Amino acid sequence: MNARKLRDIVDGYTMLLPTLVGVLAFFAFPLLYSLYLAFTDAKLLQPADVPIKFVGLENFVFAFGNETFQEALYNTLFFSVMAMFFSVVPALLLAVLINEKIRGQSFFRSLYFVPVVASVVGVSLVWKFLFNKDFGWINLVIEWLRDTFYLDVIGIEPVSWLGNAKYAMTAVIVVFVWKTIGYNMVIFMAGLQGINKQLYEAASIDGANRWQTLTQITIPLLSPTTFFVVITTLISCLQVFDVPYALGWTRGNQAGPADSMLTTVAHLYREGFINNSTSYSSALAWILTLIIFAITVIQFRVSNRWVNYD
Amino acid sequence: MAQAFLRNPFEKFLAYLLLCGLGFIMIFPFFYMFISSVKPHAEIVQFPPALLPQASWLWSNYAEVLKIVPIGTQLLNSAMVTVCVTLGWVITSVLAGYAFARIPFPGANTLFSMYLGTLMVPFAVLLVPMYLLMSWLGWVDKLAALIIPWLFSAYGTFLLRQAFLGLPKELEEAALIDGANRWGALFRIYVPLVYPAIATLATISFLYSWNSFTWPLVVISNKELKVVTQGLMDLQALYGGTRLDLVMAGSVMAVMPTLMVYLAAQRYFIEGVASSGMGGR
Repeated sequence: MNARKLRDIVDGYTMLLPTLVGVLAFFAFPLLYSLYLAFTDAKLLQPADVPIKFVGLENFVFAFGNETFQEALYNTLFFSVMAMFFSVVPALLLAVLINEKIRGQSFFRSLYFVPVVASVVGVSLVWKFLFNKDFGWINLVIEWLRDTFYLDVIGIEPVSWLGNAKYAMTAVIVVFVWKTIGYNMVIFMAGLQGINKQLYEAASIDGANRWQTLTQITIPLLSPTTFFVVITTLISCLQVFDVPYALGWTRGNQAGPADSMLTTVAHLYREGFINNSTSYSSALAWILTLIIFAITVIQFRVSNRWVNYD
Repeated sequence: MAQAFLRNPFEKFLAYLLLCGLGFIMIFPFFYMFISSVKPHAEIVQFPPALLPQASWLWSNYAEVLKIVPIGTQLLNSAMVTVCVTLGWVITSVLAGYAFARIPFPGANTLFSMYLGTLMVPFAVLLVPMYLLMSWLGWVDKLAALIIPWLFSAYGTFLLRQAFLGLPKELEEAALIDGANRWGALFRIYVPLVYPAIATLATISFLYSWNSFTWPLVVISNKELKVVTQGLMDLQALYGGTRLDLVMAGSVMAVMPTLMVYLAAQRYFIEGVASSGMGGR
């Protein structure tokens, strides 16, 4: 028996070995090294004869007083709130709708999932042309709507989506939502499958109408799924980089017109790799990590109150 | 649902209208991408835009884009990276998932929860230190930088662990009594039983690695070694103003492989997302 236990330990660790080495070398070490860098004045191209100096909290203090960072943070939060709302709520409603016994259920599910699998860069380039102010289909549709329904009175007009700092972030939100809705919907559909059908029968016998069924059975019982979707969507929103990069990064390393698409990750990418400021970039990355960590913790706490894990 | 949400044909009609309208929005950009890739530039930028190519279908755009930028090489680089990373994910996840699920050894639970913790860390925090690590290893501008650090996956380990936990213990006990060791039990008995989980993992890994962009952007700058997502950005920078047809032809080539694999293995993609909600992120 003891020989078997020993064998188990040897076999267990041998099987884990590749993974352990990988995690230590390419996750744990860089993570700690980044924490160290955040407290120094290291440059990406550090001259060999200049030692790296320890500067305490200087990078963090600088970040919070820095206007560009504040803007990046504001942009990211604005983006996250909007993108989260529009990719979670419609996804939930769609999942409820498609979960009906309707013809083509799996067809629609597959269809909405297509944008999820396509490369962000590839689809962002297409959207870039759809948003074009001169020949884009979006303005074509807006013009048609305006001329058909006289919407100019409420201010619906074709605009330069990607050329105007006021609208650029809207374009980023549209592309992100378009790419995420199907993903969230599939998770919601899986959650809906898990709800006990008898509850609906009971509600029907009790004469509940469909809004009561939706708001008193479906939504509360779906809350663990909703909670999961909200957290994962928020976390991926806070890290958004490739959509704004592909839509609006300029040759002069501006993120869209007047830096209007600058997100936190875009900012730390630019500081670290274009402006040569490794240490400041690391500090920014740690601020982002702490924000994400805090949101996760708060949401877990809150979830104990409103999530129904029954 | 026992009680239908939609009660009469008119409501069903409205629901279909909504679903089809949304479906159209989901598909239209792909349609536009494809159609524009076979139009001349002048027809793409005319206003109002026409739906179909008016003069003729310019398939030659594809040949042209392959000739003027190294996107063919970049497609091969992407393919090479994707195949290696996917194999790596599958092998390391099967081994680690089995060890965590089936072998009692000290420290297993602690290691597993630490491993799951890695999922909570945003990738952005690793960008800079990983780049520095790559430069010490001499892997900047080498495909190794796109492959070797990404052969491991906490998501995959989690998925395979769940799959192995779902199988009866007796299978293995019988094998161990018959004199097989753990490795024999794993590869001869367990692995064939978790093929669906492996397929799910492989499709998710394929997607993730074919579409990856941020890390290659940071670590690869030689255009012969770039992956296709980077190649597309270059194509856009060079021809975005003058030859949209070529940009769209490049996009089609970059997007096509994932769409094909998705069509062939839809079930595994959707299962992967539905079961864990972590795929592709």
